[in-house]
Amino acid sequence: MEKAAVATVGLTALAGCVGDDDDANGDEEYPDRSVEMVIPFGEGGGTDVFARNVANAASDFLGQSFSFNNVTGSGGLVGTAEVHSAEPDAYTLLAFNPPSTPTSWLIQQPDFDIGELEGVAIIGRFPYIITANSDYEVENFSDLVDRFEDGEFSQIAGQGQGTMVDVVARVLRDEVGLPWEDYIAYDGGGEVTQAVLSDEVSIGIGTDSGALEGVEDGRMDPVACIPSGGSAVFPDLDTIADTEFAEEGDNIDTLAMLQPCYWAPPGTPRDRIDVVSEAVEQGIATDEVQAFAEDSGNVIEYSGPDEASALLQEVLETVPEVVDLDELRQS
Amino acid sequence: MTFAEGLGIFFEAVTIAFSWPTIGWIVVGILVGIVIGALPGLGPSLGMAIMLPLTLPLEPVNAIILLVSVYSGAMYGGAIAAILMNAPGTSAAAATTFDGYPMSRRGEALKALSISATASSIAGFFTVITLILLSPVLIEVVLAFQSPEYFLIALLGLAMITVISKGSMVKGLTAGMFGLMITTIGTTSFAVAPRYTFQDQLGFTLNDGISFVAVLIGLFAIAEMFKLAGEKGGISRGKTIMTGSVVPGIKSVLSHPVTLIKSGYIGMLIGAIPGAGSTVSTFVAYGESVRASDDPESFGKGNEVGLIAAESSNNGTIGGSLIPTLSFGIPGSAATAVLLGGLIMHGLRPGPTMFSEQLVTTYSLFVALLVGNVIILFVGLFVITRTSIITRVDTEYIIPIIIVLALVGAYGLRGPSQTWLDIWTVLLLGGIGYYMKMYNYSIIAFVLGVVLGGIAETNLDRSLQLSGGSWSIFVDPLNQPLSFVLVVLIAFLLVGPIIKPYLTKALANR
Amino acid sequence: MEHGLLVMFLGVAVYMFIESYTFGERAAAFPRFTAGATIVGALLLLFRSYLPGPVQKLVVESDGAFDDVADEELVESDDATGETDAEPEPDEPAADAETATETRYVDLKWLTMHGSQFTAIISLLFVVVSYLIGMLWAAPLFVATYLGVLRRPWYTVVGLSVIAFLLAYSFVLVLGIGIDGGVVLDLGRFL
Repeated sequence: MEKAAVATVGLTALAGCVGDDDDANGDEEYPDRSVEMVIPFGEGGGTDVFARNVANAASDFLGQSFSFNNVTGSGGLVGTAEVHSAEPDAYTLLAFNPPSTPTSWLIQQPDFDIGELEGVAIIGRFPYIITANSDYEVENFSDLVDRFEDGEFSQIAGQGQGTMVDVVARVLRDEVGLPWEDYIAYDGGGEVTQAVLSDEVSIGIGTDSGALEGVEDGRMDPVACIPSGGSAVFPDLDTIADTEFAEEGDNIDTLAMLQPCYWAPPGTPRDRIDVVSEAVEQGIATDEVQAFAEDSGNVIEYSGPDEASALLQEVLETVPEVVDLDELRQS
Repeated sequence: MTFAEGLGIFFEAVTIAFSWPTIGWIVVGILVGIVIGALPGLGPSLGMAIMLPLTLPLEPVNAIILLVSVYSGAMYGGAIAAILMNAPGTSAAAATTFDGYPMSRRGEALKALSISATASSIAGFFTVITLILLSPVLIEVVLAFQSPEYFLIALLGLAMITVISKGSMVKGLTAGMFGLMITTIGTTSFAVAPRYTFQDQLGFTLNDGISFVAVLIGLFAIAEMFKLAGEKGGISRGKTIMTGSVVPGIKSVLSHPVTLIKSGYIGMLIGAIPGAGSTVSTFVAYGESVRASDDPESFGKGNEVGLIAAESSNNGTIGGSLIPTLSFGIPGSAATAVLLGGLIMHGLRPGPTMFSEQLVTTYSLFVALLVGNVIILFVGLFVITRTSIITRVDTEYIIPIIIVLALVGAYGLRGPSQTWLDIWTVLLLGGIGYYMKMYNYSIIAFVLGVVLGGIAETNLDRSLQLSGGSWSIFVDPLNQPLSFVLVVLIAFLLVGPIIKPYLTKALANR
Repeated sequence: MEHGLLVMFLGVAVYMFIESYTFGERAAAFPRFTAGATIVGALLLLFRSYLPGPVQKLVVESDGAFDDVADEELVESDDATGETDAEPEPDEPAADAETATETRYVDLKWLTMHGSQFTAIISLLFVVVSYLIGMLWAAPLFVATYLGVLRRPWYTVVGLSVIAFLLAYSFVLVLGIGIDGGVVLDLGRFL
């Protein structure tokens, strides 16, 4: 396996990503070789692109390059399990985005504790929004609720069954009061967009950046941003908290905001985590990363290890409170 | 946008594509793609994923052009192993084995390879030109397809079992059903609990199901090696000598313009449908060529028309599959999903702007594909055809190398937890495929089942959910006209062969 | 052996059919249908000789040979297309359709087996050894054993084993797959 990792580093070096400039971090021990970043989703996917971009910028400040390893399967749990049992020396790190993978973990109950992972950094956020096919001219969230109550709409589209989007949809129905009857599951965010564009399902839940193409095309309207943090892609879009249906700090604030993070295996020394985390913070501040953020419509923002760990705990506590996991599993 | 403006942008795109280093990246991409595609088990998506991190230092346009060239090269490269050694790396190349490999066995590998290069590049060429002209209209076509239509497209592919497989209908259907059944292992998008995964014993191993690429490698490559091991001599059993001429192959393609054009456009149109498209297109084009033929019996035994159909449709698919990816960021296949990642990584956001403000980029992609097809033609005719010599080598030397390649390829298919699952799949399916061949069970039907099962199931379930459980969603000419047309088409395919003899008889008696 | 194949189809299908009753209604529908259809098809084929005439007609077909690439069609198709510009060569070993399908047997000194059987068994061993010491190292061993048993000249044995190793190694380099070590022996560090 050793050789394999070295080979990937070779590639990364070819790609010109090794920045061996002077190390600002003072830690003379760590890192003295490249750091493996396990991405539990496929190459070219949202998690992958995000994690690679930020890590590549961070490597300039870390003084070592990252080698990326996409270990896919079971909603990210395969790669997560691998890192969970890896040597806690901070040479193996992990990227996933709460609340998505923790929700899969809660549903599938594999025999490792995801809550033991050490947070390294939160590197960004993108909110889920509600979209509607533009033929229906849905004005805002309360208009949408009215029309669901009238029976004009009954279905809502989202990514996957038993996923965080499914959870968000259930919370919207049970706590916020959007009375949908059928949740139509699709395989990916792109499929959800397509369903709304083609009016297969008139209303959908998806990320703000994923909705941008359809909205620009004029076939899709953003109706409301679900969490109160708001959307950078649609800055003028009302959040649900802007209406009388929810308040800031409600469960949807955590559940409907995807926050890409880096993680380390349980028991990784805090000083090493701090070294990586600091490099990530510096990397995020670079012009390249901010330019990427602007181009892709994502918010790339740094928060430290404690915030990341707290976020994970919050998700693991909130999800079982708001939905019946057994019921979710049975569907 | 006026026509003159469009033309201006087009010429700008041509300038970009022919400028240095862009043209160099096209050549590199095509060559890398051909090599990767020719290895069993490695398809375009893997090739593009390998190249993705390497594109980081490149200009965005060059990066995307490199990725698209790898895509195009790998789609063509898949044909090489499919023809020479019955070892397809993708479902698209599976249709190429149907007649391409029998041609090799007959000693016509050189001809088969030149047909493949010619048909691929010509079809790639005219479908891309069509796309440049028609791209705005195609977006509407893409959106006309919804879950019921996806299901029916998958069903259309499955209905091809009756057209393509010969011999006992019950054997064909049983093989197809067994293939479909295998796809139900693992999780689906509409149910949380995984099925048939033996989670207590195996953990996550089976959660993502059986890899259909592993099934393909087993059924085609390994099964064929087992079979060859029982025969003396080389792969080629024909008496024709392999001379250096590629002319017969080129002639053969040019003398079947209808098949070429029809299959290219079938590939492009069905390829544009996300999800179902790229997997079904070659099977539909192949099935259509069998249906339209006066001599359907000769297909699967080395009929050149079958090979032309398969090869032209699979290159037509490339252009088509770019449409939903570029216009809405909806990837229709694993390969376009990686391309989408590349676009985003380089700050090129897919969307309608790709066909307005960003049109130059889009056109340069298409022009790069055109240039790539010319490269494919030359490399294919003058370099790749030399590999046909392999079919003369005693199989004793080929068998162990192919088995090594197939199993090492299977090792790299997916993550570590599925590695051994994939390797055992390849080996087991090799054995099953060997006996299926021996007793005349249609491998094609089995493959169609494995490739289309997932698409059929999820879209059927979703359609019924959308309609509140009513099957009328498929036969509603007013609200779902496209579905209705597809249902009629499928019915025609299924009933056609049965009533055809009676019909001919009745007409003859008049 | 055809019965073996059908019994395998049947066994897997029956298991999947029964197991489907533990799933939710929507998740069970498709597997139950495909497993059910496989069961019916396999049963029809297993008992085809006991079926009444008209039904039997649907199930049975003109029994195919092992391979229908049909050497006998060779001449005919060449004539039909008229595009093959080559002349038949008289001393070409494969020229005769009869010799082309001659069965290959492998002589292991104490036992002679069918070539296919031998290849299947040695492939199985290859996978097992790969698991133990890593596929990168097992690949040249496999090729060498295969060719050695078939008594090929030593230079082909060595040459192809080296090629097998290099092919496998290129996968390690490009894809970074961990085939350089197995569960009992990890030689990866010596690379």
